[in-house]
Amino acid sequence: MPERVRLTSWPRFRGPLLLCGLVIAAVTAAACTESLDGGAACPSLCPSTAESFRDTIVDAVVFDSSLGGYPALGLSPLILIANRPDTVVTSAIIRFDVLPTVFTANRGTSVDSITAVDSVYLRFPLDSTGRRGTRPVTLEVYDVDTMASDSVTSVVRSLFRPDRRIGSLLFTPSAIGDSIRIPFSKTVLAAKIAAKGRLRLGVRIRGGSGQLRALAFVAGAGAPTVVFDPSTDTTFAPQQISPSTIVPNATADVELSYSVYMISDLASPPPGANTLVVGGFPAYRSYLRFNVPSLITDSSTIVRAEVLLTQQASTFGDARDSVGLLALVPTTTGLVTDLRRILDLSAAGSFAGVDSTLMVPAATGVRAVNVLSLSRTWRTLPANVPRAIAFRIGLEGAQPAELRFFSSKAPAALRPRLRITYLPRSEFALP
Amino acid sequence: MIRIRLRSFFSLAALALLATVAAVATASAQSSIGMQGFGYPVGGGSVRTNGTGGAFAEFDALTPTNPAALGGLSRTVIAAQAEPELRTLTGNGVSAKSNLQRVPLIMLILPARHGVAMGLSATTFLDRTFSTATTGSALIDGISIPTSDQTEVRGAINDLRAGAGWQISPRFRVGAAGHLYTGGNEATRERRFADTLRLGGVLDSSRVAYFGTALSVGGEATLGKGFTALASYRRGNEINARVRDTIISKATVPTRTGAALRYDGIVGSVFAVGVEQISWSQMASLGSGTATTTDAVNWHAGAEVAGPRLRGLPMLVRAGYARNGLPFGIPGQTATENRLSAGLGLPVAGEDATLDLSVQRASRTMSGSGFKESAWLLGIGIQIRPRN
Repeated sequence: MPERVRLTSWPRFRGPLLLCGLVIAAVTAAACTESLDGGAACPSLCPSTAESFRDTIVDAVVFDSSLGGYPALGLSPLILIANRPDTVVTSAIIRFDVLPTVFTANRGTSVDSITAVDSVYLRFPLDSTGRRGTRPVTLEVYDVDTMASDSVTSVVRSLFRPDRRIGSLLFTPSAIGDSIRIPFSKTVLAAKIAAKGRLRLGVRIRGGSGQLRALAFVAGAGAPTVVFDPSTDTTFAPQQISPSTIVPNATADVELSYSVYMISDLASPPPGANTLVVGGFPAYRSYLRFNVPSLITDSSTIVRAEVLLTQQASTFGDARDSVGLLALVPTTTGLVTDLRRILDLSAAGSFAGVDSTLMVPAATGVRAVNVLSLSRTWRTLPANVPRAIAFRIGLEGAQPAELRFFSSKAPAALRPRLRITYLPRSEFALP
Repeated sequence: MIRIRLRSFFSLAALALLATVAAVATASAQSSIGMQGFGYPVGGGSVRTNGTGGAFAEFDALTPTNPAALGGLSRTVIAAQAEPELRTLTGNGVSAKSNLQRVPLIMLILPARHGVAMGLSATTFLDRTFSTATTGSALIDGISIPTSDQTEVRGAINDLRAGAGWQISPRFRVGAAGHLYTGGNEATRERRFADTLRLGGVLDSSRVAYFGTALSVGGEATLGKGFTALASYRRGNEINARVRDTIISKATVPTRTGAALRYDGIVGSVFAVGVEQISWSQMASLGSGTATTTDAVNWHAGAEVAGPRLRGLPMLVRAGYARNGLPFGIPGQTATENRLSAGLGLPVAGEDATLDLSVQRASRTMSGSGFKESAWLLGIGIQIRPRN
């Protein structure tokens, strides 16, 4: 008699049931994997609707002004030596107040006195960007040392006279490389070394219209150098003298400022009554303070923010070459009211994500400057920090160009404004 | 002996739960038929109840529906379960799949004297977890600018219940419970423009919290010949929505009335049918009006039969069917759901612990939308009954 199999015996069903259980458990575990393929049913089944963006242009500028005199003395990495009688005329002053009296021949161990001076020249590293003139000009070097108060521009300017000219170089700006060497009198340098005196040189362009943009400072030190042979023995390496100056009772910063600096004989016109100027020579900076409705800054997400500036045509300098409008972000509280102080303490716009904007000085019309990143920081600022922006020009103090805009004192349609696109914040979690 | 069994069981169970619970933090899904309004009504059923199509809800002690089901329990019960859902939405030429994780039930039952037992439970009342990633456009300065949008909503309204059941006699049980409805939804919305130079993206968030209360009562009467009648009623009180401690809307927790008929006249088998009516429309004023709310009548039928014996105890095999009305839809359209379910109850440590498994196949439709949704809902639950 065959063995009777019990339908409910465990051995018969153990395999299938365990398999079933394992399948469920495995699928359950597999279902833990996240997947995000959403949106296929939108908008039909999407449970919420997005708010619409809102555009607005607000007369938010409550104060604006232009302030000249930039760059501050000694704070420009570049200097402009220009002779453009219809635009700008500038000269460079380089001080070598510490002259060597001895030298180490070919970096050896013996120290010799400087008894003869030969092959003297002033070497200027040049900024290689931008266009250079194609017409020959003459670069002149003057001895501008004086016992008079030579921190006064008029005093220094008066020393650019023929009897003080100690060197010159006729050249074509477009034909030179990244530096220029201007020979000057070895007699003058030898005499000053022998007298343990100081050498102060003035450099200007004459004999034609042209300009040069030179490096003033590199790595915190003056870039121009005086190079000379300290001996008649031509096997000795030339000696270099770097700019330096001694200003009694002054800080190191002030001394650095006066080691290489510019003076201008002809500057750009001042701003008009209803005008903001950015650039020029000496350069202006412009400051704009805003009062943006808190509905926008505090209760919305700004997706576009632009400062709208109505540009006036400028005729100064290189009016048809594009220049960069660079933003500055003021960081001071309302307790600081001195505009120069506010601007000096401003951060570069790049720190707030504000990029530069290229503009043509001779152009007119409404220009938009993207300040989206800056505007998004306004919500987080303390109430006593003004919402503001300032502008300076690229190559400030080293190029003859300016941008002119109508200020808040101009007719309403021409004033600076803010164009903002925002999304009001909403409580959208509730279905 | 039992200690050794329990130890091995705990290790297995802990691993199984860990695998599922660990993924809860990364749960997501997209907008779908089941995620309209305040979300999907999970139901709060135990794995056993889910395996029978919800038909056992009125008398299953681990399902916090009818507090009378607690009456007469003589052992402490600790139960927890995980319930992932694999969802596929099709229609209008598109198809999208998503996975969703839930831990819809944690329960503790403590027996007292004279047939009284108390139960504490936390269940998911309405689960609202989804994300959508879409492309669109925004009109700025009269120009349509392409955008990519992502919305993510997480959260749920949970039902915390404290109840007591009393077995008055072998034929009658009654119970009562208090409910707290708490939880919230946290939504984030990100919108990015194709032109990232001029236009910045939007990343916004919003949170709403809910708080409400309700009372429920229930009873069970044995009719004879294996039949038992069961009924329960939940009366909702106020439920409100708060944003940063400010009440922005109020409504009433939906009233629920349920009834079921159980037949256990065949040894080792239980059969049940049930119906419940939930007045979801009482919640309508809680929302913003973008979703419509519809009362639901849900029908359930299910069975549990003793299968082959496992270590001396019968393995329980379950099956069921449910037809549910989904409470939330879009204007002019209502959603319904059909569920086929099956399950197993495995005694893994004698009478001291059971591992329950369930699988449900849900089909959801929304009238007039052209969309259909199918889902696999998998359940894995543990109930531990320590000896007193």
